[in-house]
Amino acid sequence: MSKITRQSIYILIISVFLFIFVLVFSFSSLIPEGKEYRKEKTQLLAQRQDLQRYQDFEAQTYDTLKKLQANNRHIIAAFDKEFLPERFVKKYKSSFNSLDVTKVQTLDLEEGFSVYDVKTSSQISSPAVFYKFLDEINKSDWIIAVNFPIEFVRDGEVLNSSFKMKVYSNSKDLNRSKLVKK
Amino acid sequence: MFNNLKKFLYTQIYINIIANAQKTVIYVEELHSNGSSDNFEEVFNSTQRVEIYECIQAFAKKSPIHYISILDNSPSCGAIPTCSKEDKKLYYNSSDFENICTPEGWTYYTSKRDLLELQGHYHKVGLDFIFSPFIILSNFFIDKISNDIAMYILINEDNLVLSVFEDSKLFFAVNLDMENKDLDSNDELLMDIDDDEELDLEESVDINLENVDVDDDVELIDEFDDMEDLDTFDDMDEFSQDAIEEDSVSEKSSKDDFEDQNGFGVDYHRFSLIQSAINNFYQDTKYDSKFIETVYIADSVGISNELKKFLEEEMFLSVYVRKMNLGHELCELSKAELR
Amino acid sequence: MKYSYIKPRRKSMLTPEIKLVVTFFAMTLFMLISTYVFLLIKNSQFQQEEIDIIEAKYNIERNIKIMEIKIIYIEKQNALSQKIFTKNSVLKDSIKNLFDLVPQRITLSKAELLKNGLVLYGITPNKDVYNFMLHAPLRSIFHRTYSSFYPAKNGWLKFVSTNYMDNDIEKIMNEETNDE
Repeated sequence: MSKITRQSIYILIISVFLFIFVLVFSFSSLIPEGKEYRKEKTQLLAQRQDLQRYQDFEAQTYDTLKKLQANNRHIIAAFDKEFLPERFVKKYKSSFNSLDVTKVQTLDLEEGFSVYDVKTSSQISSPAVFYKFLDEINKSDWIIAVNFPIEFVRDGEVLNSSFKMKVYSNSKDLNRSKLVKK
Repeated sequence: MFNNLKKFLYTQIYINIIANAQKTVIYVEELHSNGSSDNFEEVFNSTQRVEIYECIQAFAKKSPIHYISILDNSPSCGAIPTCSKEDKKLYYNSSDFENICTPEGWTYYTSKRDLLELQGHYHKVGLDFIFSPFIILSNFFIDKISNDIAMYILINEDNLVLSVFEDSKLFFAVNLDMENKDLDSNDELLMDIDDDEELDLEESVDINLENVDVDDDVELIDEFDDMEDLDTFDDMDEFSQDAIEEDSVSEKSSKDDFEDQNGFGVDYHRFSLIQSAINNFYQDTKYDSKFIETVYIADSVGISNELKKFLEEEMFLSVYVRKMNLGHELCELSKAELR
Repeated sequence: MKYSYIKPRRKSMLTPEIKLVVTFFAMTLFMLISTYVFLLIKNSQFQQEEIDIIEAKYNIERNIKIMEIKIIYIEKQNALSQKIFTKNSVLKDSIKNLFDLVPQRITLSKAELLKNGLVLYGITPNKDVYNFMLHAPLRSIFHRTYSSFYPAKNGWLKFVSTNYMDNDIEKIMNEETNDE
């Protein structure tokens, strides 16, 4: 039997060392890391799908919002517009013989909207003018509700009418206005 | 620190090759990290290249820290007593030779071509060290070369390496190649001698008996008492009947006889070479010649007593022989190289 | 080199076998570690994404709430405005009806429309005309009617007709409108 050379023993020792190292390394570090990789990957896939759902719903909601905004553009603008008596008078003066708007008084919030109480007095030639006015007010730049008490007083050929109007607009609350502006 | 780690982890293996014409010796020393060491020696026929290679490989495989050293046996190797470039030119052409200058001021060299040939011959296993026999010789007799002038000879299978030192300074060095191994070489040498010289020899043989002093030394007479213990003519190898007769009784005895005869021949051949080298040393103006009285021989092959006798009787030299294991010396030199 | 003609070859402690083993394990470890690093990075990415998703969901929820509030508000506005417009229309119709009620022979000098009542001032040729032509229809509409007469200069009778409704006139007017 040939003598086992020293080199063979060294090779054997090195091999054993390295082999043990490989085993230890594999089992202590590599395999757990691999497991975690698998776990994380599946988790991440689920998360991505979830995110996709969220994004879809966001897009949907956005569409809805945009549609609403488009459809109700006039109303939204009307609520946003500040009521200026001069402008009101200017706009509807033509219909009336004379128009006078007085007393802009801020009332309490009604249904979350701020309300101005406006007293109007005007002179009209016939009730038909008033009817027309009521039709037109729905298309005005503001959201105005004509309110009681309404008075018609005949004065010769003309009617002196006076009525109250409630002008609705967005609440001047900071929170609300921020949201609206967005 | 790295070296210590290497030594701790691995065994250091020194493989030393002495390659002669006929046989190749592989001497291996294993140095373990705990300090212990093992030696191995293998002798191969120089033609058995595969076996030699396998043997070296077997040892080399034992450890990555192995050093293979070889003795430079090429005929072109030599040494000169100078280190300066100008002086070197007197002896050889510097560009063709690889040389190393020692701290003592002498240089040993060998042919670059021979080095490459050697490395090529062993390219399969590779070589780490190639040592000159001159440095081996000087290291072997390190304790003696610092003394008075003496000649140092390393006797190898195929060659003789000879150097003359005084006070650690080299005076003369030569590599003597024993090309012809047969007995005829002796005759060749004899034939080289001039007629005049031959005449001189005859003259020197005459002894004037009148000049001979007789020493009536009691001690000498006592020596003769031991004559009974002396070998008879028959017992002496040189005068053995078997040795003289070329026709042998049995093959085995003849083989032994032949070897004995050869041993004698070889030693004589060696002696002739040494003699002519010394003559060259005395006569050549290149070398500072001084009269040599002592010879130290490093015997790596196992010489007979004859060479010593020849040198003592013919050249009147004091001869000291030290047994040397060339492989071991190569090994020690390798270790010294790595320190 | 001190003694040798040649330099020794470099001796490496790492034999080819050791190098092979180490290379193999290095590759394995590299793959393991790179996988581990990949997993770490991915996990942290996942966690970050989860946090982002949660934040996004929260924002979306908020947005949806805001939009829903707006929607509700607009719907409220719409309802109110419709109510008002209707009220105005009905008022117009009622006033028209009222004045139509008044016969030719009777002339009104003043009309006071109150929340829960109506006061008419006018002149009638005689009581009978008043009673049959004005008082009777008024009585059928209002809960309480009072009449008072004053002689006029030209022999006709001035009258003051006071009519009260116990309930809200608006409701009645609405009912009347529906009947018609």
